Amino acid sequence: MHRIKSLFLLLTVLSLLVGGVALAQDDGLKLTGWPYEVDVVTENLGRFTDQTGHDAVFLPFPSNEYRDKMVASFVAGTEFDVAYVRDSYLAEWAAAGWILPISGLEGADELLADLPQGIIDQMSYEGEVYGLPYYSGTQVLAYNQAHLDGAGVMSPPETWDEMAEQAQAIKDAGVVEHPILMELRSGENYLLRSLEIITAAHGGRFFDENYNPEFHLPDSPFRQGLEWIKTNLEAGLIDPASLTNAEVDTLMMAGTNSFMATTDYTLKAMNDPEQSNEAGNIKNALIPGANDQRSGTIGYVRLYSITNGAEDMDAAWQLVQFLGGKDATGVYYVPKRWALEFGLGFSPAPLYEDEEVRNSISGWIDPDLLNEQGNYAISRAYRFVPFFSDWEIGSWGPLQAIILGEADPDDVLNELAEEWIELKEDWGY
Amino acid sequence: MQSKIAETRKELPQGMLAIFFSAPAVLIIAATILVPFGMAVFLSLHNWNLKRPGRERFIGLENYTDWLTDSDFWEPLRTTFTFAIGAVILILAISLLIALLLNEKFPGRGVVRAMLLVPWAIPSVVNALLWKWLLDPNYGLINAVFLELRLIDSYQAWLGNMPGVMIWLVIAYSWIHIPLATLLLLSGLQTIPGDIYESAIVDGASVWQRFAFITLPLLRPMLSIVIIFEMIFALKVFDIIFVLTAGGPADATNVLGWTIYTETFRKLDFGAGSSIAMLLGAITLALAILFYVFLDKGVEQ
Repeated sequence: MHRIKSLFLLLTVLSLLVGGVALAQDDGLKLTGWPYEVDVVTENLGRFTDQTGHDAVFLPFPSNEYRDKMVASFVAGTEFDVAYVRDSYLAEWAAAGWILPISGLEGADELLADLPQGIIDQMSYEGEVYGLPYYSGTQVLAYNQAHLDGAGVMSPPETWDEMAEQAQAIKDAGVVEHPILMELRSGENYLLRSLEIITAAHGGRFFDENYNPEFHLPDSPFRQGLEWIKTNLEAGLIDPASLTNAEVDTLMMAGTNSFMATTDYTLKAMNDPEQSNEAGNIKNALIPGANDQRSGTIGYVRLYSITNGAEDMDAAWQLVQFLGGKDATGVYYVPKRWALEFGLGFSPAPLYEDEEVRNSISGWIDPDLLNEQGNYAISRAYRFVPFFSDWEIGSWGPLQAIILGEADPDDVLNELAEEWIELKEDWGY
Repeated sequence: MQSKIAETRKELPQGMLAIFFSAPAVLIIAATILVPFGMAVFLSLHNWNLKRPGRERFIGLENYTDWLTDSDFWEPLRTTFTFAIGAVILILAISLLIALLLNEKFPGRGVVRAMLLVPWAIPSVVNALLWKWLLDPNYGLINAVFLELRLIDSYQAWLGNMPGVMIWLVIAYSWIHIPLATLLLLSGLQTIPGDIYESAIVDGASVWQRFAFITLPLLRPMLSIVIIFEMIFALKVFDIIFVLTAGGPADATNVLGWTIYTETFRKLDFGAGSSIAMLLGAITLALAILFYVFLDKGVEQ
C-alpha cells in the first residue's frame, strides 16, 4: 500500500513537471525590449493575437541593462522571437548573426517604401535592413521659458556662446544654480551622444564617410565642443549632475535647470502636469549652432528585429509588421498609438499626413521647429560599424578626463584616433 | 526496522556510502563552480569575441601577456588596491570600535547588537541605490545636512569629482560590510578570558595598555580572518561601482571588476575578460595566502 502511494505521488509530481514544461513551451511568440509602458505593449499584443491567432507575450529587461541581458540571452541561445534594437548596437548584433534581415520578406518592400531613406540606412547593416522602426526622431534643445523670463532673456539661444551668456544671466538672477544640463555620464547614449550633438552643431563630425577620424584634428568642431563643455562646467553653468546622473530629464521636469539637448519625445513628459513641475514651460528650439552654422543634431531610431531564436519565422515577421508597420486592417496602428498617446517619434510617411497625429503633438512640441531640426541631422555611418561600441566604451573615461581638466586633450584625442585606426584595420574597413 | 538499516549499512562499503552522500553536493559544486571556472580558463586561452563568430582560436597566454603589458590593466589594478585598502582600513577601524563597545555591558546592548545587523540585511545593490539618493547632487540628504551645518556653500556633485568620488565609494561600501566584521571581532573578543584583564587591572595596567598588550594580540587570529575576508570582498567589488559611478568619472573608479564586466559584457570579448578575471583571482589568492602566513606567524610569536 505504501509503495502504491509513493508511486502515485511520484507520477503526480512527474506529470505536473511535464505539464509545466509543456505549458512553458506553448506560450507563443516572445517579444523583449526595455520596459517602457509595458501595459500598452501588452494591450497591443492582445490586438495582434485577436487579429492573427498567434499568442504573444512581452518580457522586458531593465533599460540600462538591456544590451547586456540580451547578449547573455543570445550567447545562451535566445528564447525570444522578436527584440527591440537600438541603432547604436544594431551593427554589433547583425554582425554576430543574432538578429535577422527582413529584406526580401513578403510585404517588406511595401512597408519600407513608406520610410525615409535616412531611417532605412539607420536600420541597415551591410546592405540588409534589419527591422521596422519602433520610434525615431532627433535631438532638440529643450528650454524653460519661465527661467528665461525670470532672467529677462527674450528668446532661446541661437549659438552655444549665446547659451552660455543666457545661462550666466539666469544664474546671476538667482533663478537656478546650474542652468545647463548635459548627458556627460559614462554609458551608451550619454557622453558620446552629447559630444556628437555639439560637434554637429559646430559643423563637424567624428569620422568622415570612409571612417577616418576627424575629431582629433587641430581646432576640429569636436575639440571646440569639448572646450565649451569644459569651460562651462568649470564656470558652474553646466550642472555637475550631468557627469553622474543617469536620468537628467527628471531634473528639467523638477525645474532645477533651464537648458538641455534631449530626445524630441521627452518634451511630452516634460509638459505633462502629472509628471512635471514645469509643465507648459518647457519649449523646444533648434540646437544652437556655431561657426556660422545655425544648428546641428543627430537622429536616432529604435527598431523591432527578428532574432535568430525565432522558431516560427512567419509568425515573428507578422509580429514585426504589426508593431513597426501596419496591422491586419492595413493601418499603422501601433506607431500611431505611440505618437498620439506618448509622443514617440514616427517614421512612416502616411502618419505625417494624419490630422489627428499632427494636432496631438502640437500640444507639447512645436512641430514646425521639430521638422526644421530634422533637416540639420547629420549622417553617422560610423555608428554602424561593429567596432564602434568597442571604441566608444574605451573613450568615455579619457574624454571625461579632458572635460574635468585631468588630461591633456592632444594626448587623449590622438590616442583615441590611433585606437580607432587600429580597430578599423583589424576589422578590415 | 533497525536491523534492516544495519544490514543495508553492512552491504555498502564505507567509501561508497561517503561517495553516495556527498555526490549531490559534489555535483552542485562541479556544476556551479568547477565547470564555469574551467570554462573561464579555457576562454582566457582563446581569442573569443562574440562579435566575430567563427574566428575563435587558441592563442595560449597571449591574452595574459597583452594585459600585463597594458596600462588598461595596471591603472584599474591601482584603483582596485586604492579602494580595497581604504575600505579595509575603514571597516576594520570602525568595526573594532563598535565591537569593543558592544563587548561592554550596558543597558540596551541586545537592541544595539540587533540594530547592527540592519545594514548587513540590506542587499548590496539596494545599499548602492540608497547611497545614490543620499549623494544626489540636487536632492541628496548629505548635501542638505552639510549645507545646514555650513560645511559647504552649495550642493556638490560628490560622485562627479576626484578624489571625492573614491572617498564616498569607500564609505558607501564600508557601511554594509561593517556589521559582519563587527560580529566576527565581537566573537573574538568574547573568547578572551576575563581573568587576564582582571590580573592586568591588579597590576595597574591602563585601558590603553590592556587594549595594546592583551586585546589586540589575542584578537589577532580573528583580525586576520576579517582582513582576509574584507580584502577579498573589496578586491572583487563590482555592484556598488555599477550603480553609483559606472567606473567614472574619468575612470577614477574603474576597478578590475568593472574592467572585467566592460571587456566581457560590453565589448563582448570573452577571451580578454576571462583572462583579466583569472589575473584578479590569482592576485586575490596570493594576497590571502600572504596575509594568512604573515598573521599566522604573528599569532604563533
